[in-house]
Amino acid sequence: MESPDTLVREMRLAAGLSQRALAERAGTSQPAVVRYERGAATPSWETMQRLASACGRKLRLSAEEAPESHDVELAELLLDLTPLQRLRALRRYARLRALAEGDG
Amino acid sequence: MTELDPERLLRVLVDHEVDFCVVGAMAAWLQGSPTVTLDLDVMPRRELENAERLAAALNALGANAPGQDARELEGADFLGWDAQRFETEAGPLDVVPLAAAIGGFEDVATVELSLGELTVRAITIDEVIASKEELGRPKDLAALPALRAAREARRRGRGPGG
Repeated sequence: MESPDTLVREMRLAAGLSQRALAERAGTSQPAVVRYERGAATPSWETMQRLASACGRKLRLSAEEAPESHDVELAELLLDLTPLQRLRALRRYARLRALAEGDG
Repeated sequence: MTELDPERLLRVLVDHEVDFCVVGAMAAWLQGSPTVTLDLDVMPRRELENAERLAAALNALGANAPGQDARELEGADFLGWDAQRFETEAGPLDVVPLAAAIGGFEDVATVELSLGELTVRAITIDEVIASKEELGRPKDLAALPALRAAREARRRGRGPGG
């Protein structure tokens, strides 16, 4: 899950609740739920637990190994190319490298 | 070392109807891994007729093994399990019948890649990662962050496919 606002909205929709119904079940106000879902406010961990419980969910906090963001950005740039474009980019790289080494 | 022309290498293999898949760093690069390579590693199906087609393809590319006298390659040269390196007119090409942790042609998980008029199969990024984790040499371990990044980027669903 990318962010608390996405999580709150997706939990609520999955539970088939309106913002008002969720607010009532979680002991908060509808405007607060609106702010959470818009990302205008960030619920505390305790509030998130209440919201999750109101949606029939249990929150679990975990951490996993994150890939190097720099590499992911590079990979995403490469994924914007087709496999053929990647293949030809490699050819250009090889040619440039040969030129740099005086072989070209 | 002759400059790498991977498109020509692949085209000659496909034109000679060699059953093979791309392995190693090239397989990963073609699927978006930000690591470059200057050779092509291929895993052929290990069977006599296919080995003869592979030999014919490599002969058409003027392949010879570094440090050995130039000679015509034969199908029998490709029935063993040892990896072999060749210099060709289109750059270095390694024939890799067996890869660490993932096995041979019949074992590996592959994806089909469309390269213009060419269609080739390459092992999945997961397979590349598994093999490099098993090999564990410094150069393999150094490549892992980029490979994992490519896997992450693909999970995020970027790109036009392939």
